[in-house]
Amino acid sequence: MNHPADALDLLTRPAHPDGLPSRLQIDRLEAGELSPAEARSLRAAIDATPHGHTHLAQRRDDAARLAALLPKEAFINAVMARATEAPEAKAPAYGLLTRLMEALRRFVSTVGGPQLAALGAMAALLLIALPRIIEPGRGLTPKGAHSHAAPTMEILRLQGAEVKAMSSGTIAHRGDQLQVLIRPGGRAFVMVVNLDDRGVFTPYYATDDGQSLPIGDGPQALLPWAIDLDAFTGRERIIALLSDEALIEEDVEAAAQEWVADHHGADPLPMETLDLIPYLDPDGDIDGLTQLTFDVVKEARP
Amino acid sequence: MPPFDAHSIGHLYEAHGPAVFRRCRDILGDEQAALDATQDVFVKAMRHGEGFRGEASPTTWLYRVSTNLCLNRLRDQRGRRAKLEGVRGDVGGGGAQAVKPGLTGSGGMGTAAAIEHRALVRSLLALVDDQTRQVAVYYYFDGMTHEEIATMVGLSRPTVRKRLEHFKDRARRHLGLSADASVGVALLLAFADPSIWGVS
Repeated sequence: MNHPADALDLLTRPAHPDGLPSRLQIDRLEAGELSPAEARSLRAAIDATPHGHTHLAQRRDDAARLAALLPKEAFINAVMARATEAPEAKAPAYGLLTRLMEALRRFVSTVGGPQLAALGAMAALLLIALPRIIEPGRGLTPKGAHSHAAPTMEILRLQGAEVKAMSSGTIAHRGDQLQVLIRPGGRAFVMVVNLDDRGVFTPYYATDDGQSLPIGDGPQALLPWAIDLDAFTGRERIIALLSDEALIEEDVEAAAQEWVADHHGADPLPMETLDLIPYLDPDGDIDGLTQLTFDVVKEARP
Repeated sequence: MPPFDAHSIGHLYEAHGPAVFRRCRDILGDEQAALDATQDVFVKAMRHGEGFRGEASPTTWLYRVSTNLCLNRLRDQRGRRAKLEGVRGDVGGGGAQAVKPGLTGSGGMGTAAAIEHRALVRSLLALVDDQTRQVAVYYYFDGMTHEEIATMVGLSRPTVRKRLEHFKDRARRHLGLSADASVGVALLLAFADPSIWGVS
């Protein structure tokens, strides 16, 4: 193994030595989830491998370690306490104008002088262009809206000194900067996420602790900071989830992954059918939950 | 079906706690973070209530949830770090900064080679998309076959293989460009060593 290339080739070797059953199978065995026949077969496989029993011993070590760090009673109390905690619904800490100014300040301090043209575009967006390009009735039809006014989502593209409203399905490129404008229709929270046709989930707008953003009570809100598109090429769906209570980002991601799992092997995924609400809230328990979607086709720059 | 009570949580702790804790520790590389994540995984199980108890294999469900939860935490850590550094990172997946391999945690984590191996894989996870991360975790941390991974993540076996090839390709390029290739090579040697599974 004298050459780095030889060592790198090790990556192609199986990670699974000696035919040892996976840890999942061993954990299922220990949890009593296997049928008697499966258990017998697995025990035979463990016995036949040099490290099988060491593996089982390691599992016992893990149990002892966990018990030493967090005894059963303490674990039970901690888990029950956490399970009864309601996710904190934060009140808006500050207004839209303050958020926008903060976004501008962050933008300037982050990217500095060379990007002043883009800064000019943002200023134009705020002061001149926005009132002209945002007209009532534009945006996409929501799914799941009932008792609230119909919300809408606009995606704005910043190009040099220009700001343009995009249409769903528009072609975009790496480095394009997008800004999201939401009319919440009376809902208190929004979370914006992205799923691409490989099934990769990306949160765009959520709090640092992974919850929906409080959106305030104004008629519309330009979400803070711009989205820089990456080099991925293919179809992506931007999804805004509006609701009366804060959503948990992990739950939204789990819903997206369930949808991906329901499309076994589809590559690319049929993004036009993506609807998270049946996965996120199958029983209709989340008040005001509404989904807005916007499709982007990412292409390499010519 | 009655709600989860102290008795049923205690039963879950005994049946599944060690496996969930080990997985969280492997992925996060830190015992305290793993303890916190383990509790949250069981909170999720409680909140799913009958859905969880109706699973044919609760272990499989807990594997999936613990993987997602821990990978989210790794990603959030990177996101917070990027914000603190004033970096506006890519938001569409990919392009993430690699995390330096860090040997954190201590007792019960296995041999030095196993710790190094996990640290290496953990650092490489930052280079790939979410789905490839999941596949890599199941392959390198759990020793699953392609078929088991395919069932776990809802992909075809060829797609799982492609994801792993993608992971290895990114690793090769990353390590090939590393200023100190010998470190990468030394860590990679762990791939050939059965002790990567924590056995000596």
